[in-house]
Amino acid sequence: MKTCTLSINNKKVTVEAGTTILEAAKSAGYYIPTLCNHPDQAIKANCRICVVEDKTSGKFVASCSTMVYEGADIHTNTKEVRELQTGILELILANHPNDCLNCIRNESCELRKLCERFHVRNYNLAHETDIYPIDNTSGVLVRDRNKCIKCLRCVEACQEAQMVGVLSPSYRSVNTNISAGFGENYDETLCTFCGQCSAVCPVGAIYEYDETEKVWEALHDPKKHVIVQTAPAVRVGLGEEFGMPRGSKVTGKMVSALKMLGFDKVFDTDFAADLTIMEEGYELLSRIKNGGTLPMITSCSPGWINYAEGFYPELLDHLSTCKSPQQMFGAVAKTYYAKKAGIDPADIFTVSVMPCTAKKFECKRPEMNASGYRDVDVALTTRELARLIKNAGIDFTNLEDEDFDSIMGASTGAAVIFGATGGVMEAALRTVYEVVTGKTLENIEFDEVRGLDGIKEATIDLDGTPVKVAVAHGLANAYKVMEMIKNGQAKDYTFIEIMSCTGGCAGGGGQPVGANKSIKERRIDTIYNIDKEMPIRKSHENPEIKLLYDEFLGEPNGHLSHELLHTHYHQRVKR
Amino acid sequence: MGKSLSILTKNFNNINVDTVDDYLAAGGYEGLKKVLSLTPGEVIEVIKDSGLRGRGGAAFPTGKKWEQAAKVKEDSYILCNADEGEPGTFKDRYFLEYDPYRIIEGMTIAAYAVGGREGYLYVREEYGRQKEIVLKAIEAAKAAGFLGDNILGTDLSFDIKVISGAGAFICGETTALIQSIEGGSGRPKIKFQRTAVSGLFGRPTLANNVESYCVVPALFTKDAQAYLSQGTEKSRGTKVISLCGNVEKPGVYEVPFGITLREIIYDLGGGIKDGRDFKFAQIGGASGPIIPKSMLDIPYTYEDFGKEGYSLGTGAILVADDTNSVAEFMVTVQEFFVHESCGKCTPCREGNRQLLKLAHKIADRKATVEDFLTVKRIANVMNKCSFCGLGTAAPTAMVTAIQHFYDMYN
Amino acid sequence: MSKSLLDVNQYEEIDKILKKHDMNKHNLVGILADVQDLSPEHYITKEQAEYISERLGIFLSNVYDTITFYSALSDKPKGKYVIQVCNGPCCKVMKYEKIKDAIEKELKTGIGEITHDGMFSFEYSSCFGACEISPAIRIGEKIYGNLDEKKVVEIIRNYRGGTWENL
Repeated sequence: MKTCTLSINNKKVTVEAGTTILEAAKSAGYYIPTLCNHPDQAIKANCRICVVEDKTSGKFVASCSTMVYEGADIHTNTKEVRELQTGILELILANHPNDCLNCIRNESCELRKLCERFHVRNYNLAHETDIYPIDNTSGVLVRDRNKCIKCLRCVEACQEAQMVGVLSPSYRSVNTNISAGFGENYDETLCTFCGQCSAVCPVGAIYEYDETEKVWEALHDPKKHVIVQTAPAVRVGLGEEFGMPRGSKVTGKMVSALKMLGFDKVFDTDFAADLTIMEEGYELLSRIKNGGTLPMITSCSPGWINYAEGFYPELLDHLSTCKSPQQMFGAVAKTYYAKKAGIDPADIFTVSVMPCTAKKFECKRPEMNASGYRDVDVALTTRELARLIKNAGIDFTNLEDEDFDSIMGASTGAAVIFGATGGVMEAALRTVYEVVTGKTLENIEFDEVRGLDGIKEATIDLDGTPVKVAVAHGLANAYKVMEMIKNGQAKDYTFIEIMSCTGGCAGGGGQPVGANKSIKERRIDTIYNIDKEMPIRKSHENPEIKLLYDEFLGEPNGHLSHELLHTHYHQRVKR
Repeated sequence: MGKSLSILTKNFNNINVDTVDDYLAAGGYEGLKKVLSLTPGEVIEVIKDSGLRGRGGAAFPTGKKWEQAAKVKEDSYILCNADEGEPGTFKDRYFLEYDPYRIIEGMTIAAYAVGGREGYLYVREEYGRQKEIVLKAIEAAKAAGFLGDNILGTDLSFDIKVISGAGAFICGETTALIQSIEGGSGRPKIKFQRTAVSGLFGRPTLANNVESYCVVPALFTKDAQAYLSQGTEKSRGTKVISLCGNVEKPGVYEVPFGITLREIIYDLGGGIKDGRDFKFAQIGGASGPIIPKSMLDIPYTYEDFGKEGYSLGTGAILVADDTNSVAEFMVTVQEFFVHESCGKCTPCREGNRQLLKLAHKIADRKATVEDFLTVKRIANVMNKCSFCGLGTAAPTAMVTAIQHFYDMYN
Repeated sequence: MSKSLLDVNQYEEIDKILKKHDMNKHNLVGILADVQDLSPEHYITKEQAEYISERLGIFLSNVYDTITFYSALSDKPKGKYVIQVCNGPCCKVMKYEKIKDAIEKELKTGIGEITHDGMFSFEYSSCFGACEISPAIRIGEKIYGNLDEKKVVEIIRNYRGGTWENL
């Protein structure tokens, strides 16, 4: 490995050849300001605020896109560099609405953080902002082009990482704006609502459609029995919104905070994840036995479902008919739980907390009313729950741990790993193996399906029968898998897990912003640690799930299951 | 007494370009024939020795550029930039219309020297008529064996595709031009490697201006002596300029480096029209400096202009008489940049926006001293931090105008 | 794919253009220019863009980007004849404003607009390199230079094919 020694502000530092000045400065202890830069994305070098002085060449260069060279004499804080950086910040602010006091992103905005650093006082540029109409008709994501700083991170996320391509720059000069084209709002396109655009936006130009007021309204309504379910990945992301280290496990505090907010019951989506494994495991075995469409593909990621319906409608038969845990939960809550608790389902208001923006789209699907009511009334993102907690003034970081309520709060390690890419696959294998072989699975950790490789494969030995599986995350990898299936190159695969977001739900579009690969890895590590520490780690051993089948559903894939827990898909066309 | 020359421009309005015949009769393709008798390395040495610098505005030493391209083993695309968008510049238009075979010959010589089989000639959309002429010339050259397979019976095979622009000044920037040919908007791209190594379609690419390719054949014929005897040590040969504005005789002229602006404007251009007075000139296009009367005797060379911190740019010389307001002229210049900025980077997109507002303020006589300092400040940010040359050069006019005409603004 | 309002004939024309450009997405700019030429109003419709996007395998948002990025392409209809007045630096010193005012008066239409009968649209253009015959205008692909108020009115009336009073 070739190295390079240069000096940053007269401090000698040695780095690998091919490192950018930006990275080299970091290793020397200097954070050069950035905006368009994102560690998981291609270098863009369009904001230009990372400018530094190269005294050897006498030139000013963008440190994000300039590689180090031997003996370079780089200065990041000379009078001129600071003047240039301040000047660029001023130029951005001159076009940015003064909305910080009201802006949904004011706590996590990267532009505002730079203002903390630069404290622009003698601001004398002409303030001219845009007046594009706000795109808020989807009820899932909101686009405010007037706050856009044209960093193009959202474009790369949509076109490259997700290969959906709804967002692109258009026009030029001061008319440059990010759009789907022809004045289309999100809901007039084949946007999958994965929310990755909102996850990478540095400012308040793209954000989740906030539904916290709806939840407050329900909580304030004495007639409403408000229950909440929380997804696996939320418990490893929520703490970040309160300054806790990235990937902190906050399950107990989360439950405690929800109880303090006034929810009548705090249940766990993980319970429904175990339910999903039961239904999906048996569905898979049935397809294998009866010659159903294979490979079967998981269906719990709504961003992925939207993608399949929009781009591969001819292959929808491959999708498992199982609803996602969120939706299974809702259907069961307003039937089984309502009955057992003696509450009129019309008075039950179900809220879900998800690491996901597409869940908002999913819960609003017309067909998601198997209970006779809206199965899930509101789906909140992790970010919105944090907002609720802060709004209520709850001292989150100092809360004592509390437990989920029964009868929909018990779960297993298999359920919590749903939050990581490969988790659904692993959970399913833990159950399917034991159901098919009748033997106890000793080694329940399937390393081959873990990790951040885009597409992972494994061949599982089901007591002599080899079963080929694959796991993909990020829609660009979903594209690869679907093309393989389309071209008949995936005939020997039995089961495939696809998640729309890189990292799986841990990296979901509704999680705390500012995440990157290493942060996602930390969240995933915590998830696997939670799994390790759980007393029960296989879905079929969940006692509340056993009770649900005994007292209510009967058997997996039975008549009632099909009514409440399974669904159909249809081609999505542009409106 | 300033004289215009007729070395590179000798064919202008003199030959019929429907066939190659007139071009050949005027000595055309003697250059290529001589080149084919040399090694590629020898050809590049001639270019280097000539001191030829890119004629599109950037003035990068052409020999060095060809040497970099030749070093790359893989074939290079030979790219000719005929986007000519710099206001006040129309000299390439003349080459396209009146001497297209010279461009083709120059590109063919480049293909031989650096190793290339495919050429791309990117013509701005507004030069529709000239594009048709070039297309016909390419066909005629092919029919006569000067293009296509086995040119002049040698191993050299080279063909040229003509691509039309679509109305974007930024596409004159090489990486933006490449984006346009690759099928999309022309926003400049980061160059992690020089274009000679990775350019069009990610392959090695040699990109030069029309005029640069047009100088090349002359360096290998008897015109070479006439050409190289002109100019100064650091600015050798001739420059084809486009003179326009409030002069009697606007047009394209070939001048020796070293001639003064005064000679260009008064001897060649016939002086200021309608008996008016010279007020200012803009050199090199909208991206160029504003020159006051006091600087009219500066020799037109890279080094003399360089001493002032100015570039010669494309060779455009726009003359304004005393009926013009410098401040209002600045509004026009800034309007151009706001219209043509690609919008990708903050300094250029937002900086040009601010400079236009300030230009209006100055023209409306509402500017304060602070405003002038702000112009300087923004200009510095644009100069040092812009992604490409458009943003870097855009503030030049306003900064030099304030420098030379400060009292006029008050 | 949403149902298109294009009639079959237009599909055929676009297919011909795509074929001429080898169905190659690199030729997008040229393809869009040719498709635009199909329209007497010099623009590209959303349906046409969607069809091109589908056939070439390019995101519609990128097709829209290309159309809106370039001055010579348009997603909005223009007049039958597009009059472009150069407002560049050379035409500025040659007083383009006089030409622009004369056209405005003749057409009874402001710059940036289309005449009532849809015959002319009237807009500014960046310098198109006709500086030695400045002040200059473009009407479609034709360039007219060395203009004064009288000449430019005459040119426009010739396009009208008659005198103003006849209309």
